[in-house]
Amino acid sequence: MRFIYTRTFTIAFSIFVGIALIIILDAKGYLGLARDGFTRVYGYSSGAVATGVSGSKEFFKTFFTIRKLVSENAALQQKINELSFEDARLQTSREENIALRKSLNFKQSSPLNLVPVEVIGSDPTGFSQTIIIDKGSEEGIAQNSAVVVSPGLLVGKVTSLSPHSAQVTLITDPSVVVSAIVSDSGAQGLISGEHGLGLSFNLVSQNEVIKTTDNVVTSGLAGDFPPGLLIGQIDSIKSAGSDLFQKAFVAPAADLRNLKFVFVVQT
Amino acid sequence: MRYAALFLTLFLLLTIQGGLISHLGFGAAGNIILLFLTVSVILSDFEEILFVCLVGGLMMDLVSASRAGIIVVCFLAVFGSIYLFIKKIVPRDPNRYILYICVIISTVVFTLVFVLCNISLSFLHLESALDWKFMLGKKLILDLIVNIILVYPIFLMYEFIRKKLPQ
Repeated sequence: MRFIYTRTFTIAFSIFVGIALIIILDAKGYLGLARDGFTRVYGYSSGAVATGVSGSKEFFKTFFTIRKLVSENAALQQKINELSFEDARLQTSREENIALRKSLNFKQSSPLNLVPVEVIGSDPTGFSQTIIIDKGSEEGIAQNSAVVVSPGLLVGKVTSLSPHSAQVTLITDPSVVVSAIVSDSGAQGLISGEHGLGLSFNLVSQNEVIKTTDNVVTSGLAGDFPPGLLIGQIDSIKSAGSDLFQKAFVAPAADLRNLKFVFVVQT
Repeated sequence: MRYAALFLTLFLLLTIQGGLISHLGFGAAGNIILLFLTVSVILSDFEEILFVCLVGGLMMDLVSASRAGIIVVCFLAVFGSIYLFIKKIVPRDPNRYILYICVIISTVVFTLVFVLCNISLSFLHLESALDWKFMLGKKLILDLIVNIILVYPIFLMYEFIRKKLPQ
């Protein structure tokens, strides 16, 4: 029997055609709804796991505190146990509440046109630094819009859109390059990600004076990010006299590992 | 029923991957679905492995930032390489050493194929190019360490599910 009539060939051919179709449909944007639906379910379930983990952490922290208290006052142990358990359970809700309140204040005072969104997941592969937000093109989110947290801290930019969700690539991803300026000295350069490990501030002229703890903000020169958004603080400087440019490492101002609520800047 | 249970298991693993494993820090993410696939290739039949490959890969594709379809291709490449290794190179009963060697092979093949797919698609302007030096260097080593640590719990989980699943 010729190979093309075998079951192995049929399976291999079907898989090949299927994968090719998926790649083409995704490139054309026809997988948006499928991505939306699945992302939402995945986002809420993985969010629940993340919340559970942080809740457990809090619980065990509290547990060890109680152990110390027991030695001081055994009579209050039962009461403390109950309160600690309740405290661990409410910790997450409290953090969410604080974040929302801060966010609301920021929205009222900011001159930028902001759309509040919730972070529902992150890229599980670890190959890129991306998060998934719960609003998409149907809610007016545009490609390449800047994403910030209160009070005006740059987080990243929208890189992929679905009707009701979007992917945001964080500034710690090397694919995001931001035109930046040091707020004290006015030194200009380009900020790029270091695979989730921080930011590097490149192409800073040797004539410019930069020092650690200087704030770095978006310059707005490239037109992709509004000017004045805080990126981070200079952590260390690497510069040799023979180099054409100075290089600095910048610690991001926003806590990019615990994002819950963010804002998309609408142009 | 068997495939429905496998589907739910894969979704549970994806949830744990996204909610817990990918937040380990230092650029290490591991991949417990890849580990589940590796264990499946060692212990399962062809249809079940193919199901894990296609469904697990598609699930990861839908929630990852990469172009949909790439992870399915990577999983198929892992399936092929582990299958060849088990059937042709070490045709004997699997043991722990073989399991750990399979994890190393699967992690390396997965990363390598992912990078190759990314380079190919970026030539066609269908994907933005990744930093392949980082992927094949530091990240690969960190992922190998995380995967080697996590494979035994996944193996035990797989054994548990196999006992519970209707054949």
